[in-house]
Amino acid sequence: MRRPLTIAAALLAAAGLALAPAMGLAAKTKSVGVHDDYYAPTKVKVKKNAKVKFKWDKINLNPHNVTLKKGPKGVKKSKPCTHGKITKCNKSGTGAIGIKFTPTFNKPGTYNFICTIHPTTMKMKVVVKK
Amino acid sequence: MNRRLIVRVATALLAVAMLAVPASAIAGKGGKNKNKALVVCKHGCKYRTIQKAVDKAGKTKKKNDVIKVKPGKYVEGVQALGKKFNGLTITGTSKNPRKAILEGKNAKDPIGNPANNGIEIANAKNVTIKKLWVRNYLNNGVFWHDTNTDDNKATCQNAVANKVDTSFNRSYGLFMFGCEGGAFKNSVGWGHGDSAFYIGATPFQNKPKETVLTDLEGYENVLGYSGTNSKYVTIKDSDFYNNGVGIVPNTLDSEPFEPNGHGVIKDNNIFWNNFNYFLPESRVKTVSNGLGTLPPDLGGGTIQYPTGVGIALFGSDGWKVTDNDIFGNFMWGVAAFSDPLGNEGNDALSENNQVRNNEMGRDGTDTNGLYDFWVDGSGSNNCFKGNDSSTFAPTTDASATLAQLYPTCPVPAGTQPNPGASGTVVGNADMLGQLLTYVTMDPPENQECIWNRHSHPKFEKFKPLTVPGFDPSGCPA
Repeated sequence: MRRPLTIAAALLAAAGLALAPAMGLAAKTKSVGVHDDYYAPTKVKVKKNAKVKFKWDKINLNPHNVTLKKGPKGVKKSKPCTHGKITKCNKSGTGAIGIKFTPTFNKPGTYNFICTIHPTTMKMKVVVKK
Repeated sequence: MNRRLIVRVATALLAVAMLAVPASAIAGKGGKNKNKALVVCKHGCKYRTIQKAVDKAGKTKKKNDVIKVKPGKYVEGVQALGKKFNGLTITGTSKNPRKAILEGKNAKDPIGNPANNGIEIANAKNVTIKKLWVRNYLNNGVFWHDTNTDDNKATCQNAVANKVDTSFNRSYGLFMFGCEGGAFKNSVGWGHGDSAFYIGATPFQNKPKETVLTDLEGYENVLGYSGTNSKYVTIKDSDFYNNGVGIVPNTLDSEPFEPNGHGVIKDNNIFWNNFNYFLPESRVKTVSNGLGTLPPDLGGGTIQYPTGVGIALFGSDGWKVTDNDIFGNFMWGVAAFSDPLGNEGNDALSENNQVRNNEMGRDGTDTNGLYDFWVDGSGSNNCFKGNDSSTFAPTTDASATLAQLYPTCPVPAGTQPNPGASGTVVGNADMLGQLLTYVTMDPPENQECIWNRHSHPKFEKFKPLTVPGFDPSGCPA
């Protein structure tokens, strides 16, 4: 009896996909490059619940991370993670290439990030609107 | 019981007691301050991955945990992040470090990223890694670092690697960043796209804790030792050979705590650093994109790392290069220069370096290609004394004398090859032109065009490395 379950799951998934844009859940994902030794761009504006995908340059020599330096009131600094709500996942792993970090900005405000290895040269901010 | 039986029983008890010794040794000595070792092996141990043992160590209240790794291949990227790992030791159980392997191919770190490091240690003091072979990681073999060098808390101290071999990690083998003190010893590194051994971003210290690198072997790397803004480092009793450059302390804006300085390079063998990794057939590829671009009015072109050099002091302040054997490097034995092209604040200034009592060129049997010594004439108070078989690179236009470029120690008053720019990053124009011509060769493998090549007489167990495929017909006229 696996087939009906599969069909049901497919129907639910399709319904979900159809509903998501209508409910405003599929906010556009923006990208930020993580390079030796800079972020690009250094400022991103997104709507609430949008994701920001940080992409490590494949030719990096040096290790980098994306670490929350300062965020809206109540956002506590997290352990390293790869994805999730920014209120609980706001620090990437550290590495030169292949690191994954795509947090969802579920709380409006301004988020200042740094690379803790290159704190003076690698800074960027994400502004989240309501 | 008869006497023979008593002897047999006593013998049996003794045997049992002796059998128990290795187990108790593995478990630690059992004193109040000793923790039970966490044993990792592929089959039959409580911990089958090093990370699981590290996680357990992070949960124990006692410090100074010891993780013992039995022979085997461990495909994982290990992380020990935070002060809860102060005093941690991770050691192979075999005397031979090649028995316990940390393998980077297909390895993941604890949060699922492709493993960039074999072992990453952040913000922990007194962490020692011993008797392991760490290879094929996306970034580094073993990486100790302070995650916030801005706060002056010096959370990375006394990192030690002993008998840790590293190979073919994409960037560095053993790598300290923002740390104080510590040591790398009895270790071998080869096949790295930057350097086998790296000490970088050393914080300024009022009472410096020395970082000691001793009894190392670095070969077939882009650089044997590199240290951007490294300080208070002693490199001794080691062999650096068959690299692009043997040893390169350097100053760059990209990392904190400029410049590099106050180091010692002594009693090393630094030889045959003629690894032309720019050639397509090299099995090691540089991860550097170059050191910038030359301004168009100076001819343009990407500035690459030099090759064929034993020691390059790049923007260094206060290094002592003494009692080394330096030979068979096809460009220069020792070079010292500043960065006049764009270091913010001109921190990359060559000054106060002493090059003394080195044996150059093995009594003329294995000379350093063009010259034993080369300087750009920048900075001030760099001196040369007591070196055997010395040859000094001159200007081609007689704009400075050798006595001006390579003064004896201490430097006689008024000695300066470039009086108009005394003490600054601006060197002698002719010497600087020689350097820039070399490091902007296009394609970069044509640096070999300028080398003064020759065969090497036998030296101990070592064999010179030549990358095939260099075509001299492509050299500029």
